[in-house]
Amino acid sequence: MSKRYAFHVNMALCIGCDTCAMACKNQYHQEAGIVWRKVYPVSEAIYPHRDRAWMSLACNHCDNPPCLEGCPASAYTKRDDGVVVHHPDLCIGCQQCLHTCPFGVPQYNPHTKKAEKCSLCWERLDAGLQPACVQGCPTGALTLVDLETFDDPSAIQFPPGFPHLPEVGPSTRFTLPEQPKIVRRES
Amino acid sequence: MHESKSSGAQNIALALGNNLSRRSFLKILMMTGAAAALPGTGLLRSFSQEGPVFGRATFAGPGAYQTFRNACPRNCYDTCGMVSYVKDGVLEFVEGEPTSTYTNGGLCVKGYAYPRTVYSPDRIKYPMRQIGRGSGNWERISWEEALDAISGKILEIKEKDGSLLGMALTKYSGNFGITHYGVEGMLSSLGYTTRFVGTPCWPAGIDAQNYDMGNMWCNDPEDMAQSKYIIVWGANPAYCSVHSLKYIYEAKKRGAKVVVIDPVLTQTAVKGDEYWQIKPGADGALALAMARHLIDQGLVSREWVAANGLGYDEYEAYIKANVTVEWGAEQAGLPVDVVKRVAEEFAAADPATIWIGYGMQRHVNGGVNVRAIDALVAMTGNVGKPGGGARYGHLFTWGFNYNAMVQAAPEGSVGYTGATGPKGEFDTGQGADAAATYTDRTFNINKIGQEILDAQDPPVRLLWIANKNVVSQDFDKNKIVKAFEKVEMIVAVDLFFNPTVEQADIVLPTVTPFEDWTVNVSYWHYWLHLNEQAIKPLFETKSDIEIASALSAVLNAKQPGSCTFPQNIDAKEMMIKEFNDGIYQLFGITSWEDLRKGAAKAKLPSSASWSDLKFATPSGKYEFKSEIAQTNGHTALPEYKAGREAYAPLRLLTPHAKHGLHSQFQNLDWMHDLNPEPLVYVHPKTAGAKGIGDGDTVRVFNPTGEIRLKAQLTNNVPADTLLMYEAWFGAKNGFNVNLLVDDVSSDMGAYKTGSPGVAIHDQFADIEKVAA
Amino acid sequence: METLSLPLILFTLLTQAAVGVAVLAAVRQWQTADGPQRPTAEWGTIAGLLVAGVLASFFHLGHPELVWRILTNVGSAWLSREILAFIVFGALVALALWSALRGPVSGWLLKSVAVVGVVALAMMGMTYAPTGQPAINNIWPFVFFMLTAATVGSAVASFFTPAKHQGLLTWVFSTGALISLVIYLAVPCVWLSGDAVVAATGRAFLSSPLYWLYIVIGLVVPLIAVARTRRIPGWLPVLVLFGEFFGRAAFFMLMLTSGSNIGNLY
Repeated sequence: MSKRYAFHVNMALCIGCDTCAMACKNQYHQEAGIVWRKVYPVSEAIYPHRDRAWMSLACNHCDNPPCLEGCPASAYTKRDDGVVVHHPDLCIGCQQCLHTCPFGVPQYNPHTKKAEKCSLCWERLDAGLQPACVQGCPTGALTLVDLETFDDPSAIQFPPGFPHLPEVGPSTRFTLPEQPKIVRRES
Repeated sequence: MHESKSSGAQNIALALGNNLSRRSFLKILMMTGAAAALPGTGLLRSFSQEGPVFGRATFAGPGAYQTFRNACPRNCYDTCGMVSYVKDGVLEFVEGEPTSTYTNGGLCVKGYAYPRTVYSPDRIKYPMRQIGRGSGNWERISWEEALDAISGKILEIKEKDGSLLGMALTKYSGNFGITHYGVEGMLSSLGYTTRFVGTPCWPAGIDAQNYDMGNMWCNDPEDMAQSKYIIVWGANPAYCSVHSLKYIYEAKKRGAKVVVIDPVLTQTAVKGDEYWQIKPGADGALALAMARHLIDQGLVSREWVAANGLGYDEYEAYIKANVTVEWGAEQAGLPVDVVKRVAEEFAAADPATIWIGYGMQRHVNGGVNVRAIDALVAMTGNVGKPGGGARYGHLFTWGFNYNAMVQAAPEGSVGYTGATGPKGEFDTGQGADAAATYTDRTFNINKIGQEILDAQDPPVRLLWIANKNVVSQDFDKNKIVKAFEKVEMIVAVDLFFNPTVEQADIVLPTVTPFEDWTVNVSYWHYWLHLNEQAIKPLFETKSDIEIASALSAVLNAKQPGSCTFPQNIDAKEMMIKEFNDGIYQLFGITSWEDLRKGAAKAKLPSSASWSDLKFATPSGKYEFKSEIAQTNGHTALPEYKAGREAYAPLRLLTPHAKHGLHSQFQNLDWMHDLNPEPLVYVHPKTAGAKGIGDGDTVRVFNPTGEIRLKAQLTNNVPADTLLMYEAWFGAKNGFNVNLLVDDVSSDMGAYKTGSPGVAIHDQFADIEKVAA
Repeated sequence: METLSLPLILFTLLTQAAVGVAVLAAVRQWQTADGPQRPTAEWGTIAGLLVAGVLASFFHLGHPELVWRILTNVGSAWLSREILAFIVFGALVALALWSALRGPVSGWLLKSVAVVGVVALAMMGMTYAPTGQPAINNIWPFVFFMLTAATVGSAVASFFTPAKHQGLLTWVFSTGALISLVIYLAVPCVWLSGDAVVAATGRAFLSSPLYWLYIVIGLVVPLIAVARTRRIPGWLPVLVLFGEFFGRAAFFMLMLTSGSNIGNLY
């Protein structure tokens, strides 16, 4: 593989503003109800303040993508740069990928009657542009990296709150959020 | 999944003037191929949930689009530059302006929803008349009919009252594009009218900064990266100014300490080094306490206050006599040692800065509290330093011609003969004719309900509402709706059938920024953004000045000379006329056309405001002691002022939401996908005591009104506080925080904006579970 | 909870019933050296169940006109392999039906149909054991499907079995239903001690009316009836199918995905 594109989700910088989620909608105009990039709140069991730590996830462009392996219609391909692309013209709408993906990434569009998902803005990548979500992020929390050269010691593959599946090999990398010193009111 | 079959679709069907449902209308259009002729129906088709759907858009390649420069004109610190991508006359997507280091190529969750705003099926397309205010019984009318009715009413008022004081305007921040001051211009061009003046937003702090320094003028926010100590005090940039955070992060990376002071553990708070959960309204006491400690420890910048301050000695004497650190800390609800430590750290850091939030001054003591915080920055010598300063806002870059706004009253106009003040923070006084014996009549914009109820000689007969969603956003909603019953005709200019439009007799459909020519600057950063017309106005929409121009033509046809607003304007020319040499020099451009290639930044001698330490006060110094403040009925020094007494068991905070900007954006179905419903946030202890579980439906109530909604339990809020984010969720959702918020005034605001502000966060309520 | 996928419920139930009857036909031949009472009717029923199941599956596809694409990824996709196996199974069933019209079906054909049928169920078991649904990302779906084939298969096959051999069918049915009862009661309880998603799946099953309806209508009542009469009553297949329907609905609708738990502890 010449490159291994991946998203780096820096939860220490992420403010859960949903800009990335809407930047994707702005680019692709998904149906109401279909959101390709979701900003998941991290539960209080993991980060002790409700709705204050976030995991922005679109597709994880896995090393061994269950969607691709399980698709009977060969509607998924993995590019040389790691991007897992869904091809709507080949899709028969069997919805197998909705179940094989452990991250809930592919969604079924009841109007086109096909699955759809983030394909890492491959048309933008090929034009030398950043993915829409990465370009939109105001805090630099979401960036595109190349795992062949990415070298951030804070980045991990399986943070708490994310399915631990090394054999699937999701490409997304995470930096964990931090906590401030908190001074609460005495009264 | 959200299938929003809102009443918008019904309205649209009615808008088409017949009983065709929208689905069958679109079908007919498709069949006749006429759909291709309608602007934006390509996108309508791919968006529509009711009509045929054709999958999703793709990125067609960088060369496939025409690009235009636009700006987000909402009431937001960030005022982003935008680049719009148009294909075949349809706005396909938007991006952030890459040439502005502030916008940095990206927008926010709201800005990226703009394509859906433009092509929303709920958008008002034609002028419409409501048969029976509040009935929802709308009929489509032509522009001729609409302007005929409105002009008829204007002439009727002049006939009846002998003046046009019975016509009133309320307008605020729905669109800050400079040409939109043409709405004020329209009223001026009709004669002397009634104006709702002031601002709900930030007036107390504006007055405070004017008393202290002679103007509200903040550093370039991009210089926060250089700061060594940042206190974010009562502001939540993680929700309200996402582009500012990168500078705070950079400062942290360079070793700065960030302290966030807020009644609520906000998203911003968890990104700082230290968070203080302050008692709301105790900010002044806390600042005084910190000052006391600096005085005790000899950490005041003596040279600075001697050279640049007026009345510092009296301030220090006041503090020594009246303030102890223990007292202030107790008022704020914080430990004394923590208060002392941070005060010392702040004084030792160079430069140190405080970001004073607008939420912080929405209290009955908000203005004087800002003065106390300003004083803290000044007495540590941080005013006038890059990376320092008491940051609040500025109007430094707003020196346009206001060509659309400045219109002469028609000859023979009769008006108000009493005293009058500024008409809002953007009132540069250019509209005032010193020699005139008449002026507009001014009412408090924040008490529109009460003012209309009380108005006589004449009463408010015709109310023009533009760039403001009064019924959603103004205080004590029930009182406003009741007051509106007195108004004979209400005209609203708007995009969606929001609660204000629901109370109007005539609604005039208006344009989004992409269909408009204007120019935009920010009250926080120092960039200038052109706003080009990227697509033709959809359906029969018109911009504010196009409406003014059309009304002028109709009025002059009926009564020559009755309106001086230019007829037959060219919107682009009106935009060009706003530019002047001052703007060109400030931004280092030779022509407005330079802005087609990108944004321009003001050329500043220093990133710091007041870098020359020549303050705009009467003394030219930083006035710890302000005579003007005293003349205006306040203490000359920033003394302690108590907050509002509670009138219900729990404090109610209604700050700004993440997914909307006031009543815009949250109504869109795209936004509902990310944030489906309003919630009230309650501390688990408080909820437990009342048998309220997570997700239960509750009613929140106080003497002003009540709301029913779902509760979410979190200790982000203190146990004695309820939190709701203000927003309009669309036609089917009656949620409105202003059912609970009354119009009590803040201490300051009248000096520079014409009216005091509103103590929005000095509200109280109770909560109980609603039986399932 | 997932939305009701009627096509998948019917597809799996009916094809598993077809395989079950076919396997029982082979077993009956093997154990008794006797053919069925009405071979044409039996093979016609098998074929009918198979065709009905496959037709139902078409309603699950967003684009049935592209159905041929479903075979393009036999290299890695279990669903492709499953469909291929069912095509072979269907060809063999057609062959057996054609053969039954002429006389007794040969032993090797019976064995072939049975073996390919079981292979098809194994492929199907893997297809419905996806990575995204941790409670069943294992051998259980295959086990569930085999049990369905055994119980429904033996109940239907009893129509075509001479009286003297009803005992065999009754034995297969009772054993199958009893094992089903044990497994279906145990497995959700085992799930309770799994990770967050698996445990939640267990809780979803144990609190679902669909699951209990299956247990009662699909297993308990039939077992009691068979215990009393020592044979499979004529109405039993209908009741069993009903019960199986609820059980299969539970399988498809209550199965939780790991993707639905992101942000929470696993």
